[in-house]
Amino acid sequence: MRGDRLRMGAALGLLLASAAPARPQAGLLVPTRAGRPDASILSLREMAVDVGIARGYARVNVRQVFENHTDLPQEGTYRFALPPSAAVGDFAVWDGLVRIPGVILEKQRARSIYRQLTTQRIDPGLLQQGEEEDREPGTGGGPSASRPSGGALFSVTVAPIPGRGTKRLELQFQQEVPFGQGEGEFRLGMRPPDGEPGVARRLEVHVRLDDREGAAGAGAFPLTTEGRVLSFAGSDVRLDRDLVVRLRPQGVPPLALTAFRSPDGRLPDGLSLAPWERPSEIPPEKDGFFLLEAFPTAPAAPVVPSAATQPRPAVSLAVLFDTSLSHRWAGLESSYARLLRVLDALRPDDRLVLVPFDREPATGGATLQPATRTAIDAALTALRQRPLAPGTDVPRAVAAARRIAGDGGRILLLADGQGAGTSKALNEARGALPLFAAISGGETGEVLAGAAASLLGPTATDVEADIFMKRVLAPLESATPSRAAPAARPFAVAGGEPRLRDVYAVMTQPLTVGSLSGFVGRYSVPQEHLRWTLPSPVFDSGSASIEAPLPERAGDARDLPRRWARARVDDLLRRIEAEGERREWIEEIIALSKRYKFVTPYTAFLAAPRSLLRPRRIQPGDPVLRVECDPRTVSAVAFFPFGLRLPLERRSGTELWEGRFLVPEGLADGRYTVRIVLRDASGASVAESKSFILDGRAPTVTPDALNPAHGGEALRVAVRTDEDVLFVTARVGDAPPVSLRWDGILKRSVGLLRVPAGAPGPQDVFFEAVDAAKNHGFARATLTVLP
Amino acid sequence: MRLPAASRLLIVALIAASAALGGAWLRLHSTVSEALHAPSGDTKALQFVPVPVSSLVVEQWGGGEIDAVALTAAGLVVAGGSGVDDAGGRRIDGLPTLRASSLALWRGRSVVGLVAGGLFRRRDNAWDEMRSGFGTLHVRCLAETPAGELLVGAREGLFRVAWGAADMQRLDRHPVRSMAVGRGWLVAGGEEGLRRVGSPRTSIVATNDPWIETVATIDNELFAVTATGLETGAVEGPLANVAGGGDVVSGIAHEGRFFGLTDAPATVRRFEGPGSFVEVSLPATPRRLMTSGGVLFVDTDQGLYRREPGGFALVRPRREALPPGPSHVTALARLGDSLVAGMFDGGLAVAERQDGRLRWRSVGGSSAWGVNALLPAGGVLYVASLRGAARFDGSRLTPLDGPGPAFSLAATRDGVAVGYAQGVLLPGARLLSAFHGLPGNQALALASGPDLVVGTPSGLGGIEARRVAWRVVPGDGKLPHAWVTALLPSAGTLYVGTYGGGVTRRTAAARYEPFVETEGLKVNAGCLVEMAGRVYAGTDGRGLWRLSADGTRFEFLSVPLPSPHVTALLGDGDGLWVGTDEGLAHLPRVGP
Repeated sequence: MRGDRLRMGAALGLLLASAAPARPQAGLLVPTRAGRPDASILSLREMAVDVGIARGYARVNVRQVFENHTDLPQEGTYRFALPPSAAVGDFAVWDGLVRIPGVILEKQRARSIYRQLTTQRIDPGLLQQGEEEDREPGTGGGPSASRPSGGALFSVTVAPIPGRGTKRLELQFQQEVPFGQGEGEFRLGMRPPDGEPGVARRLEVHVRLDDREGAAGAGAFPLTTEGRVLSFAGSDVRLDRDLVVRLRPQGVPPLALTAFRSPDGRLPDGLSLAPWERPSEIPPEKDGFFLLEAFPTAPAAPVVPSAATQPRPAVSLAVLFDTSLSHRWAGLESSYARLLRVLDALRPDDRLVLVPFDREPATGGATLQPATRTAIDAALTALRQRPLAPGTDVPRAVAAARRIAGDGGRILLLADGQGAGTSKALNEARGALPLFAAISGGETGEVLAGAAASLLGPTATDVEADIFMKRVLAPLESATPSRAAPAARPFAVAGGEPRLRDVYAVMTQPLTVGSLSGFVGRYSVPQEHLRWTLPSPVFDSGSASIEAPLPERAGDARDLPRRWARARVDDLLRRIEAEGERREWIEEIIALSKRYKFVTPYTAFLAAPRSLLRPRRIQPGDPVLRVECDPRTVSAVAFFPFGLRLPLERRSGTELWEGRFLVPEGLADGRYTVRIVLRDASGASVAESKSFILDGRAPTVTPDALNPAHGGEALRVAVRTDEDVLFVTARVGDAPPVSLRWDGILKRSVGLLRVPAGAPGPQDVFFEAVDAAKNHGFARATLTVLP
Repeated sequence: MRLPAASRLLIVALIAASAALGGAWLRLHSTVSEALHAPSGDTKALQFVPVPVSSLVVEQWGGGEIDAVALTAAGLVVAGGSGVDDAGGRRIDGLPTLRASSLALWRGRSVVGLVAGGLFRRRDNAWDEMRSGFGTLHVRCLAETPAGELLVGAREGLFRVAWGAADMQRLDRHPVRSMAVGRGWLVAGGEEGLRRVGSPRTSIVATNDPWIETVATIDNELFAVTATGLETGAVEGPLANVAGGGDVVSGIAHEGRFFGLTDAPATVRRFEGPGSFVEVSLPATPRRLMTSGGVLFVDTDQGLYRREPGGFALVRPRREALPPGPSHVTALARLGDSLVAGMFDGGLAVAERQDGRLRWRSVGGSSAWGVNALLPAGGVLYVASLRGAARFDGSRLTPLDGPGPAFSLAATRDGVAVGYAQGVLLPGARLLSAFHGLPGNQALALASGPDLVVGTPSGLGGIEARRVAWRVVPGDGKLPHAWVTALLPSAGTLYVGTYGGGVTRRTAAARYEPFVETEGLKVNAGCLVEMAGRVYAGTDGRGLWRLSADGTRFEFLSVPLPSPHVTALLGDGDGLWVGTDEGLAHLPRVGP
């Protein structure tokens, strides 16, 4: 059975595990036995990253060669955390000289094949006592995406990796490149979220910018520019920073049209293909595809308009803050940080109401109030005093907010995404008011996407967050179509009848100054002369126009069929969410996924068990070991390296087996492996190893000296902590804590604290850091508040 | 698998004891001593230190299971979860902890290894601790050689002691769970594989799985029960899996056959040949096999059975003990006349007095597992466990809505507050957490008074009128340790137990007064109680402490307990109930 498993790994790869929000990281091959990256076993010998960016879209190809430094064949787990808007298009493992591609299958079939190949299904998870229980394992579409079909932790078992040999892996995916404030940002996470960064013996990066100009982002890998290609090459490169390209379009027209049509599936001779492209991947299509890009270029506004500098109409804003039990811990703090950011941008002539909600909204006597500092502080204090309560009813809260905000108001929803109901219910609840939704949990789903004018997911990039925050307070556009609403085509075409169909809004929607928006669709009848007009108040003259054909043949924009298919799938998923599953929609999603090669919630390369996660960090004490087993399991026993033989107990009505154990006194911090032996009724047994890291040391916290500040001022604080710290907060006295964010350049966690007014003199500032094992570290610094 | 002829079986009179099976009395072939001639390890001094005898007699309830037997001329001596019982079935008191892992006779004297560590020899109705320079040994198996040497298998390695010697010799450094002796060889196995220990060197015996639970020998054939089942082969190895032995979890060699114990379901198999076995009919559910004096014993949920020509006979009924299963008590409470114990890695056990004795039963249902706290309120018992909160009415468990594992409970005017990993759920299903100002999310301890006080791993908080009114965090310098595990309000004062910083007192004026003599003590969760005007603190590894009558300092109480790891306390009219990781004790009167 073991051999079968290894062959399966080599032949097909196992992909797509559901994702927790994770900081992206591009490609790790972790020795299965070690359970963590270990360069003495498997090291990264070569890494090549080729990126092509055009039309607000990036095609990313990553090729990596890993080297086995041991004499024994190794099994590894390849992990790649994808950006939220990304969709995997291809994956391949090289077995010697043979390239073995991954195969997209309908998910149920993938599961069936997987089970035929191995009878083993084990999903160990080691939980620290009190830790939130894991979600049910599943291979559904990653919940992290702002797009229904996007975003996942991509993982695959790779074996065998021959002793002293190498293994080559390839991954290709596409993602949107968000534009805000007139700039775009492409980011590929390479720095690990925690621990020591890896080293690539050879690293090459090439980023080709087809229609924009750009440069490396601050704090990222330095890139040299040659024409439209940005490059980096180096040896023994520490992967301690990300690949970031800032795109600065210059002289870009407000409207641009691109088309692709290849009715016979053959590309013209002499066409230059990217290294990862294969002509066979471009299916013949009688229809053509087009993309109408809109890039309003009026002077850009600051990220979040400040009261002093931003001339904008006053707004009436109803903020709904989720205080349900499911909205907790880091998600709660993240939403709170977003709330602070929006409130800081309000002016006294704005009107605000902050409505906490759970099963019911707390509307008692709530009315819109001028957004003065006093009113904001009072609202925040009340919010932090409101207990969390069970249940979430987002539509009910939205309906209440609509009543309070009144005509001309707007609603900002800060929630974890649960209890959203249906898109239909949400749309009815919000009425004509625009709904802006910022989701901190893993459940953005199609529901909110189908009802929100703008949606911010939990793993949004900085640019995406900037865009979102700006739009919450920006003037309302009259027509604010949701993404992928085919009936609401906002542009007009004159000069012919190309029979456009299935047009979907993509990229930033609705149109915003400084952002790149688009509409992708199909055409049946090529036309030589067409005039495209897009009316919108964001254009100086109220609209923008362009003359552009839809040609018989066009082979350059080969990304368009897949982009259209992706938009179509997103729309179908939203309809499924709103109206329930229909066979024809599911069949179409599966067909589009296979035809255009990208993974959806209904397809997979092959479902992998979720046991491919990093080893858990735990404190000394009494953790709980939980294992999800095959239903045929009759016995599960854990064997610990310190001599404990722990029979696990099956939790009634589930496939979960669990045991509670004591970490022996004096056991040194470090990594340990527990072996779990499962047995079925026939006496057959399987064994699986799982690592955990014992970490009993509280993180050190060293704040920078604090400069004196006046009451009411925003004070910048910075603190150094251990590398495995997950989050850091700071607070002045008994004021609410503020989350600090890691600054890769400063090598510190930084944030802004509002200095309390009316209390001059020395004040204590408390810092708290929590590491992956939930150890808490503390520090205190003294702040002099000036009168 | 090759089975020995019956005639050859006579040569080896008795064999094998194991860590799991406990010590057994061995009579070995004379050539065994050759294998042990050449010491490969180091030697350290050995002392026999008398164990102080306590005059206090304390009722104790352990696990009730028997893990080792020794057949003596006077009768059967047994050892296990309830300590060591003499041939008359009476507990032999005086050992520092309750649970015994192993037992053997050494020159006619009982030698016992304790699960918590330590090796002890019985002499003149008292115990001597065998202390060596190797530190505290965690002994798993014991055996006596024909030459009168004592073999000690422990987590720290394999050791040998000659009778009358003043030193102990380490033969091998690898952990040992079981050992077996054949003709001229000694084999020991543990977590790191199976080894043949002898002269001139120690060699590895290859097995398919490195975890050796049991090793036994029949002639020159070796049997090993590993984590993945039964294996057998020649003494030199390698061993191969035995058909039908995949679910064997332990076993014993007896009368030329290997008897294997399976789990799920628990059965005993007698292996007759390759792939051939018969199931042995037993009167109760088996849990361990042992031999001594050529007799096969089976410990069951009903007690210890002895194999006789006509079948199995009950020779030692299960003693008064906690119900079968775990004996690590983490919470105690009264529900009416019943005493309820919550288990660290189990559910609830209920005891009632009948004829002056406690009769225990387990509570069915899976709503409580990994119990952290119990609270009687409103005529029912509230349970906080890793499966959330539940209500127990004496017969039935009813789960309560909540966000996950529950850790603490407190009765308030409005109902019961529950401490969860996410914060405190107040009556009316309202949760307060660090977001609302508590020093941490995980509410490990709760105490109800004018405020509802919350202990977390990162400090202390007070809730008043459903709002966080105050908090104490490490930066404040008020707590000796941030990890608050136990709270006890008493006459306007709040006693705060911490894990690593001992006990401090919060006065009515919110002043903090540490008890410096408790510095470094790890007060376990819920282990601060008051009885008869005195405050008691249960610690992890340092036993029981009591506040002096004048309230100025805590004093260590030298009382016999199942273990110094005190994990639950309950004071009531009957006295003080003390839960430990090895069972329960009752102190009717403690000191003056």
